[in-house]
Amino acid sequence: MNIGFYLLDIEANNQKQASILNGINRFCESRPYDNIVLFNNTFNTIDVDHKYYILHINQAKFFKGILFTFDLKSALLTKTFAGPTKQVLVIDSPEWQNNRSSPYRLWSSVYNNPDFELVVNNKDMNNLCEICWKKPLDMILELNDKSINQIISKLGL
Amino acid sequence: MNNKVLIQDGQSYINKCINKSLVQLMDHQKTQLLFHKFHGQLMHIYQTQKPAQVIWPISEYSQEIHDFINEYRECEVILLMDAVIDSDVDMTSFFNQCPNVKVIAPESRSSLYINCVATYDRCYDSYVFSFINHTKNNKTLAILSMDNDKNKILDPLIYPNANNPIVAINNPDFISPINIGIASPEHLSLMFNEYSAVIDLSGNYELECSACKINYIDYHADIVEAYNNQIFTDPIEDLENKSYEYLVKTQILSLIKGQS
Repeated sequence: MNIGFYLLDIEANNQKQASILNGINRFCESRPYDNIVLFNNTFNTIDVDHKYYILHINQAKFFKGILFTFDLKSALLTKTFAGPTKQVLVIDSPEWQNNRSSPYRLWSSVYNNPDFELVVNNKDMNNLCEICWKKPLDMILELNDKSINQIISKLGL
Repeated sequence: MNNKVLIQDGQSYINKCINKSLVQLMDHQKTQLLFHKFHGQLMHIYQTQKPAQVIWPISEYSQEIHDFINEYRECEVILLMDAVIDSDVDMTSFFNQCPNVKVIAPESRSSLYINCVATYDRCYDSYVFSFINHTKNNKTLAILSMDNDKNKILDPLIYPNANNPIVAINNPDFISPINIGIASPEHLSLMFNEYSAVIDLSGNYELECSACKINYIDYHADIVEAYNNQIFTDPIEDLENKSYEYLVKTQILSLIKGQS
């Protein structure tokens, strides 16, 4: 199985990104025979024992598999990609609440996009996504091998 | 015979809707249409193209069109009263004295103009708002008022106070996680066809909602009761007579030379 993670710019002291990379490493250990790729633009952190392949983001559109994104900016870039069989957007905050003058079609093009499945990290976001957009596929507390496997099994591909 | 008509591509919503219907319905074999933003070019275009008529929205009235009315009395100018202008009294008497000016005015103000040739009331854009047989999502769309005090009546119904599937649009000053941005008329039309009911706090979309056959919640007595018991207003009758398309077809098209 091909599983990709799209993280645009990885910063040195970003706890959220460090946690995602740690989760991806643990996921790689649990699935040694799968192709697990990180699509990335800049990598400004140290991950000495990383187990994933790294490709530049411009390769992501040719990727045939499940593609995980973690922020709206990434989702806006990947939403038109024909390659991925399914995209998963992990949401941790309601970005539309902080940008209320943005056009509805901007949010709708991502959150209502049939190519995307939404994954949230708390019950409030779960309720909010269900009210405003669509029912999230899953709710995970943190990204790790178990939660990623759980998401993939729910995709039913 | 000169059947050229110059139409200013104005910015107001009313002007856009009327111009769109004119362009759609006009017989272009009989009348040549000059359609553009003509600010700063009106005199030049008139001298080179010699249109027989000019259609101009009052919301874009300027010294240029004022001088044009005075200078070229042989050209008929049809003014669309799509806005109320400050110096209305002076302007009204000026328009009433000009033999080459005709006026399209709202019904409420039509008596002010002795040369009023067409009137209009609240209309909707039938090219944008129409019923599509779409699966409903069992959610309610609240169109916010620009007055946030009025929007407060939503509070007992919306997240986080309640878990009702209600989203709100069209007022960035309304601070709420269910405020999902600003919708253009095209997207509003899609939403009207997708959502199950609407709470129109702006009061501006009753015709459009009727055209899209979405349930229009009658919230004027008690919004909580109206929402919980699904109390809707009756659909508007004679809706087909209340579109900009109908207005243009029945009243404005006949004013264009070569079209009647």
